[in-house]
Amino acid sequence: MAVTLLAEPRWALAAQALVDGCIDLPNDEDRVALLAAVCEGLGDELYPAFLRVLSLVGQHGDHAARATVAQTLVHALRTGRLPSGRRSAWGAGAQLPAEGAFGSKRSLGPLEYLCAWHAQADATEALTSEQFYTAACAVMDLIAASKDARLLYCEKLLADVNDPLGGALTRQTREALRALATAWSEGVAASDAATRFLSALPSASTRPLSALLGQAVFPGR
Amino acid sequence: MIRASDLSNAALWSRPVTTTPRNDTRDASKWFDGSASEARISGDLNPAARGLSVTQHASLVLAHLRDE
Repeated sequence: MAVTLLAEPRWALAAQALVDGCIDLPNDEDRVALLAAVCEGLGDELYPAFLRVLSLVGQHGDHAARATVAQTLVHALRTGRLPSGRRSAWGAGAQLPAEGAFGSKRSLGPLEYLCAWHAQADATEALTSEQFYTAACAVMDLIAASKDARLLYCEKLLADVNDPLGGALTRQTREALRALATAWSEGVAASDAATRFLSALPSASTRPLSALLGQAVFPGR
Repeated sequence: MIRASDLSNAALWSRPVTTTPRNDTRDASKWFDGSASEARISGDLNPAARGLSVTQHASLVLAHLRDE
C-alpha cells in the first residue's frame, strides 16, 4: 500500500519532532537510526518530505537545533548511512517499474537528490532554479552548523562525482556538483555554492538562472 | 519551541494540496513552493518528548507528514 502525504502536512511540527528526537536520544547510533526510520517510513515517493523537514530546520532552526541534526549527519556520514532517497538512474526510462528494472534506481543523499532533481531531463517535474536554490541553501546551512559535517559531506560529494559508474548523475550534473562541492569545501557560503552548481549546468537546464542571480528574493547568507 | 502563532504560519508554508496521489509526488511545486514561514525550530527539548525510543520519535515525526 502506497504511503501518502497528509493533505496539509504539519511541516514545522515534524521538524520540531525530528530535532526533539535528535536531542533526546542518548547516542549517535540511535539518532542516525531515527533519521533512517523516518526515511523508511516515508519511502522513496515521499523522501522529498524529509528534505523539506531538513530544509525547515536549516532555515528556521536555532543554532542548537541545527547543530544536533548536523552532528547526527556527521555520524551518518562516517558510518556510510546518510539518509537517502532513491531516484531513477539517469539513463532509465521513467516508465520502468521500480522493482522490475534491476539497477534502475540509485540512492542519493539530500544534496545530491536535490541536484539530480533540478537537473533531471523531464523539466515538467524538475525543481526550478529558485526551488533548488532555496532548498539546497537551507540544507547546506543545516549541515554547516557542524564544520565536520560540512567537510565530510564535501568529501562524499567529491567522491561521488569521481565515480561515473555510479550511474546516478549525468556527466553534466556531476561536473556541476563538483563545482558546488569544491566551492563549499573552500568555505564559501551556501548561497554561493548553490549558485556555482546552477552556473555550471548547461543553460538549457538552468531555465531561470539569469533571472535568479542577483534577485533580492534570495537574501544573502 | 513551537508557539501557537507558528502553527498558523506552518499552515501557510504548507501549500494546501487536497490530495497527493502516488504518481504526483514528483511535482516539485508540491514540495518547495518558496513560501515563507516564521516557524521557529528550537533546540530546547519538549518535555513530552523526553525518554522516548527511536521508534516512538520516528512515529511522532511521521504522524505530522503521513496520511496513516
